[in-house]
Amino acid sequence: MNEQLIPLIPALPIFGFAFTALLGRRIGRFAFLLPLLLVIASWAIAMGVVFTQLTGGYGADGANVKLWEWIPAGAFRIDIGFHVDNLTACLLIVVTTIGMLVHLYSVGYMSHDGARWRFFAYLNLFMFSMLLLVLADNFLVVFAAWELVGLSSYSLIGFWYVRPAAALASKKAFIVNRVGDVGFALGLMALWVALGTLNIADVNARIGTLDQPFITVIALLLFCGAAGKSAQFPLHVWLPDAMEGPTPVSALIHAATMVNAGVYLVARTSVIFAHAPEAMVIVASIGIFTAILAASIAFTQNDIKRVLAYSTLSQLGYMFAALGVGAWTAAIFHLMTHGFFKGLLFLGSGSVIHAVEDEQDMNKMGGLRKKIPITHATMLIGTLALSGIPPLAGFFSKDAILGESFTSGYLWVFGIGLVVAIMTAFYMFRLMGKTFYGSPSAYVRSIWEHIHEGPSTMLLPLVLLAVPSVFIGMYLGLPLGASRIMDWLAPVFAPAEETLARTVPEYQLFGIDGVLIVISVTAATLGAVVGAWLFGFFRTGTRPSTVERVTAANGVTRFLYRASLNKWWFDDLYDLLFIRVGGRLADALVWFDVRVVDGTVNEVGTVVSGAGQGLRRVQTGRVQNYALGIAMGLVVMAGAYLALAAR
Amino acid sequence: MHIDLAGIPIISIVVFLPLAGALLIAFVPRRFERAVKALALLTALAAWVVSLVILVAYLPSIGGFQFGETADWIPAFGIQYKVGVDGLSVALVVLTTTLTWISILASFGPIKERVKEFMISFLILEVGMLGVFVALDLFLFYIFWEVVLVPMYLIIGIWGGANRIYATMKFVLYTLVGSLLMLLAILATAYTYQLATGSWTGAFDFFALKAHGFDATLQGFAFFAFFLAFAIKVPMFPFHTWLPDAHVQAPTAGSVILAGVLLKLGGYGFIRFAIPLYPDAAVSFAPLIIVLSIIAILYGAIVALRQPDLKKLVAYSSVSHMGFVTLGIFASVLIPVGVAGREQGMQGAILQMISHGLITGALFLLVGVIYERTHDRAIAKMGGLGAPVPVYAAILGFFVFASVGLPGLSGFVGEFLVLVGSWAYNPWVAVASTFCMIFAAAYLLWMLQRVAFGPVSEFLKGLGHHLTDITPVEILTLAPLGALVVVLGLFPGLILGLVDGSVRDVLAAVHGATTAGILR
Repeated sequence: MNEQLIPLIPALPIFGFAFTALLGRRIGRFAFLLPLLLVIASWAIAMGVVFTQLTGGYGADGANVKLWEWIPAGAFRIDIGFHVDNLTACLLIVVTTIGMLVHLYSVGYMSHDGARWRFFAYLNLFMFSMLLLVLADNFLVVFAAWELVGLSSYSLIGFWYVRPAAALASKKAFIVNRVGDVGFALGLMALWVALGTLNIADVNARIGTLDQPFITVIALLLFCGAAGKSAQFPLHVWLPDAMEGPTPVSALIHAATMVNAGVYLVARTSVIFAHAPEAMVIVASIGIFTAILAASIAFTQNDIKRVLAYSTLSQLGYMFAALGVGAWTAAIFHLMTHGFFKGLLFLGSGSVIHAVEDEQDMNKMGGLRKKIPITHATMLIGTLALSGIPPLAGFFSKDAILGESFTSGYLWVFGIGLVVAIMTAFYMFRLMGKTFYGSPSAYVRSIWEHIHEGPSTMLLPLVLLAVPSVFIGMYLGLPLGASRIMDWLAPVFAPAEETLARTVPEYQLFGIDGVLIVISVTAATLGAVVGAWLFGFFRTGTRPSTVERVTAANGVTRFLYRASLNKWWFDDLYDLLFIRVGGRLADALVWFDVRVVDGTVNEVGTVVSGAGQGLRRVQTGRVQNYALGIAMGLVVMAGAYLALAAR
Repeated sequence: MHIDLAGIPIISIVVFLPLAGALLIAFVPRRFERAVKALALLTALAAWVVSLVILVAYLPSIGGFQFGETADWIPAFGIQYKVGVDGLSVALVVLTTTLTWISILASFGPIKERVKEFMISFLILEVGMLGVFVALDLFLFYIFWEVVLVPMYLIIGIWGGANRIYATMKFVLYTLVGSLLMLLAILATAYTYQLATGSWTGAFDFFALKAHGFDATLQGFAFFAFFLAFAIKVPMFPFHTWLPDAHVQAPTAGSVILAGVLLKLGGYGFIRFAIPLYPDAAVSFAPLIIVLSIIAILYGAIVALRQPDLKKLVAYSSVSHMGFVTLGIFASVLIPVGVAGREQGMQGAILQMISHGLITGALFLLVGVIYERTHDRAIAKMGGLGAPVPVYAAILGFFVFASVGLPGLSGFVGEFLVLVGSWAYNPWVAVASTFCMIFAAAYLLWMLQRVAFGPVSEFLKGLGHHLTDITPVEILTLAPLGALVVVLGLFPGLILGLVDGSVRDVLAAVHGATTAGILR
């Protein structure tokens, strides 16, 4: 594929956005066609580029295309240019494939919405932003795309803007993201002032010339941005609320693509992080902490999409843990597999929600597998893949993360990661059990006759995503220890590995690595079996009241249950700190502005006009008084002159 | 393409064309209201076209001041009619002419009383603004500076809201305090020059004064006076409280010009006169000004959060955004020669001036559009505008995101360059200012949420069919601004290339900065 075609990959969707945003209302029902076709075309070009790149067609440097000079401010020069290497190729596969399937799915899912044209316009805007993000060869362009991704996410979360909850969630997402972006932006300022360039390749090549503490600061600033976009603790609060958006959005943006941007950024700057070991430890800590925190919340949530959202947080936590321990390849591997099976799970949940007439509460579901068998089957594949059951996709990537954490000496990451693996399997089987197994709830029984699978445009993407959810792990991850994905990404992460200069032990399938596989598979199976047993896989009839049993056990479990249900009170804490206390502060400043700043100004005015009132009396109109004044003035001036002259 | 304008007094033409138009309108009987409006619009469009000719004809590759005109005015004191433009002036002249015709067009509906007087005031206002941006004689500059004041006083005081007299008096008195001090400083500067050279020749001439240089005492006094005049105009914290009052009371067109051009007079004054004439004082004052700028950036944004009135919210957002202008200018002044980021701060400040003029002008137009239909600006009464007036809501959303500083639109590049400059001066300054990214998103998106999203409010439902979507004429006033916001967002080089030389000239005058006090 000719590299001059690369700009078309993001250009087609932005054209689709502009066209549909301006004319979609007039075109009406078929306005979705152009955005859909453009995304398919973009996918086709991207696949051509990916194939050429992965087979070495662009040479050792990858593909480079420069479009125009965006900012020519003296020495501050920023080009709009694209760079494709194997890392970008991996991201392109995920973004364009899932993007295309989500577009297709949305044709059916949004068919009842009068503003479907607007939905497709936003989807195209998102595709443009995300593709720009992974293709850009300059940090400032990445940052620009980063913000544009935020805008598209804002527009899509708030797509049903008449709902106050959607409007609130979209704003929250944007603002929380901006908190992280402050760090990102500061990191870029630091980089440019220190190095005089923001070109990614140049920065990576020259970062080693800076002081190590300064590099650590830069790495942590960049990580702020990554943590915001990828919803890592303490900036994780926006992602669950973002589920207010239509479900295809949750699948595309809040599971498979946008939230990966942070992982991509840290991977892209692996050299910077390799120079800053302290920063890497922080990345690993935040990642693994988010993983277990989110998994613990997913235990008790009853909204099917929120369970998946917390699961996404948790899996992103895994990826950051991997980045922090230097398992960059494993992180990107998990990013890819997770994109497919989590996209599948979200689209599946959308199919469920569609079937039960827009209900999202799992307590009102149950027994659905007989009515929507294709959704059930594909979601089960997704669940097995996510739980890490071999030979499905998630097993390979999760095992790579856990195994590499262990062998590189991060036992705590491995230990917590193992617990998270048990929890993951548990809550996913809980979700499956409550939704598809057991006996139908009263609500489900009341609409039993109307429950049916969605149209083929919705089912086809499910099936198409189930295929990679099964096979992509094997395709990319075998043979263990010397796999295809390692081949692909080795050159990308070679400079970082070199900087880190650590000795990686040989892969031993019949040694430590084999033992670790057995441990992680056992953990996943344990969680899966307990979840399946507790939540009605193996029985029909009344559903077990697990909640009552857990909370009745003792004070500790009761506390843990409430903590999980209330998301460890983070939303309440932030509400108190930023809305209540912050609001008071703002009120105080408004008082200060009106009373003190403006009050002083008006006081000066009053004094001056008061003085004018007083001085008015001097204007008596009697000539004698004026003559006296003149005489006194002359005396004073003469005196002053004499005094000065005498000096 | 190059246009040779040799021998044509193109600057005088653009400055006094609106005056000619105003005189012409004065002779039109007031019952021919449409003729008055048409004439005013045509005049403003003609001035706009002339300014575009200047833009095309100006050669950034040569740089410096071009199309200069000089004539003796008061020879006894060396006062001249001396005008000319550099890249900075050209950019601001085009901004002024653009916003003027848009404002006049936007006034056709809302202004129903004394249309003739309104249009005459507006055109005279344009003369003053253009004059300020082209004057190269300090006395002439002062005259134009004050010319601006009179029509604006009338525009707020006659066509304003209920509390217009209070607002316009406050605006005029506040500004006068600053400008009279500035006059004193101008006279002191000229007098000192005359004492030193023994002649009045060149005593008010920008170039002669700049080349002469002054001692520390005069610099300190004069810079302080200029600083007050410009700080009030920008407006910098704590001199900003006239702005919300003036905006709330001013008619839409007045607000557009106030925010779009008048605030820029302050930033322009710093760059053109205060810094090159008194560079050492500028360096000494810069830390104070930077602190005030940071306060303005954060304080303006936080106070904006709590404003109940749409116009007040945009007014406080101006305080915050203009804080970036003064921050960028004075960070550049303090960065030593040869350190990366020295030029970027001031370049960013200029870009921010232009961009703020476009975006805030558009936001005031949008507030005006909704006020025309609801006769209200209270945010609490709005809600759910997206459903009944979708096109309006979409355009509002666009300019809100432009104001938030979304990359790809004009606001981003200027702010980012300013921040780069401030990091180069002192990273902590950058850290503090960058937090504005969060606050800006908070107050603007909260406003958008309360105005455009959610269910339609009872108040708006009560308006029934009076709540109509935006009209084609209103779109015509907003479309050029939107287009410029996109074009400058994607190709900021159009402005940066124009002003690059001006920035370098200004900074060449500043030598005093040392590396002391700069965190590395």
